[in-house]
Amino acid sequence: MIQERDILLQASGLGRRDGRTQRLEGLDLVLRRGQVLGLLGVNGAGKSTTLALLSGALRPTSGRVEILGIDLHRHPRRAKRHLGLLPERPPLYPNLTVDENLDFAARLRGMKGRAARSARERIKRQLDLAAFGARLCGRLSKGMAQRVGIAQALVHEPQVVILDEPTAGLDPAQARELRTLIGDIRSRCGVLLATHILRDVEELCEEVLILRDGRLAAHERLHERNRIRIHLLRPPEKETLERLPGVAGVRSQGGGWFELALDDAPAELAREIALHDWGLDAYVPRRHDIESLVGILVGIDEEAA
Amino acid sequence: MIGTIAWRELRDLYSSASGWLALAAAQLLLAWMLFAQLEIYLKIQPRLTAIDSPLGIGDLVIAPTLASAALVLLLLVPLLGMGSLADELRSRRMTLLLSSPLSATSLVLGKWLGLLLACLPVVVLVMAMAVALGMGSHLDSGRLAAGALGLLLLIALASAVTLWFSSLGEQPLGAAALSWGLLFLLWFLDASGSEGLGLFSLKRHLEPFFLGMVPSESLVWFLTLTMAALALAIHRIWQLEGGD
Repeated sequence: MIQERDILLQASGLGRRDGRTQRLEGLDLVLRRGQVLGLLGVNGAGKSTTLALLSGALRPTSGRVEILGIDLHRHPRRAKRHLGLLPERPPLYPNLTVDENLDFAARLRGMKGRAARSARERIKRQLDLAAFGARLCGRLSKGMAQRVGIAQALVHEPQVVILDEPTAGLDPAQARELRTLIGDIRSRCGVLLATHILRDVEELCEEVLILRDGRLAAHERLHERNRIRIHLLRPPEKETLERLPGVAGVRSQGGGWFELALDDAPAELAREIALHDWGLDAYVPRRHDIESLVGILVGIDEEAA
Repeated sequence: MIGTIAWRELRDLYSSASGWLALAAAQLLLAWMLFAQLEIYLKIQPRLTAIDSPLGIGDLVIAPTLASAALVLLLLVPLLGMGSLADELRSRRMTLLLSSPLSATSLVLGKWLGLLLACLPVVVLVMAMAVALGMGSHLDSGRLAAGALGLLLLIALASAVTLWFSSLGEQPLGAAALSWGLLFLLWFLDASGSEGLGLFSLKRHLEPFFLGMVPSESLVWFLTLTMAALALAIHRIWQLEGGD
């Protein structure tokens, strides 16, 4: 059961207008502990504005953001202590070493002296950076720089972690490693993941928010418990399936494939199929397919398509 | 938090060869100027003694060297500070700074303090040269202190102006050019011939310090302009955060 205390980040009616341009309008979102919430959108959809507003780097012109119940724009210093941010490009100082960059990030978030140093050593151990402490950040590979960027975002053990395109530009092995890392940290915080890379979404996110033209175009749950795909060897008419008890909707996909939305648990449906001898050949609990997300991203109505 | 930003700024400036090279070049230039002044002084000293002139090494060597140091600092400060905020904007590190529990005031004051400390070795080395010279002659320590104060005020002003211009865009060289433009315009205002404009001349306000005076109107002039430039930089950061 989701409790109020599990809500780490909450935005309501969030908007930003610059002159005549409405960059973002009326965005509501909730990020809970243990959750990876995806934020998708094509370029110019309002993703960067959203992240800037949620991280306190930009003030909203409407709505509000709360981090652990603290109003971000009324009490920015208190709220921002709980926030870790990895922008699209890791914000590293190339002339400073990995240790110096991590120290700086820890001190920026209010840690001091010994606490900052021990936090730095802990995060280096966690992210396999222990051997790179004295290395200048300007001489790191892209993957390693991204890893240091994540270490910077996590060094103060934030409750809310915002990652902007964390796997962009990484080779497949580095990207996989980073996805594993994000999966590991989710248990102790909430992660807001902005990305173009659908593989990241597929592997990491339970829910995605899709932005289009500065508005929330869709809020999709990727693990839909009550959506299934079935393949029938002797399929009836679509309307027959629609009349079955517990079936809320049916889409015929051709070749005996159907997508069903269920009101009840699928066991009842399985009994009905067996009773009518329609030959249940395949049963796939449906994950929101990634192609349908692309459709929403670029503004194609799935049904119309 | 101001200390954290100042330390990082200082560390960043002197972690690259360019910072050290700029400092070394400034020091060489100033040493050469001091020796050139000293050579001239040694040539004319017998004549000064003959006419019983009150002018000494403080007037003929130290004051001109401090004036030269001021010009060198006018060149050096924008060079060191041009990327202070422009580089943060260009590299998108500003997002990290703005999303941390750091106020715009702390950010700007930290950067300003870091730049001030980075330029401080020039003043210390100039003063060290003057003190070394004083070992062989009589030097007025009050006059030296006033000179050092003048140079510090100049660095404070030049750093604030550079920071402001650096906050306006992502191009460090543009920030340096604008800073040099404004600072040298202020320097040469007394050459305009207009008494009114001359009142705002940087040179006119700085020279009394090198002669051992600390005029209160000049102190107020330096402090007012420095605070105005810092306030403009803070306002610019506030604008970046989306403040109207």
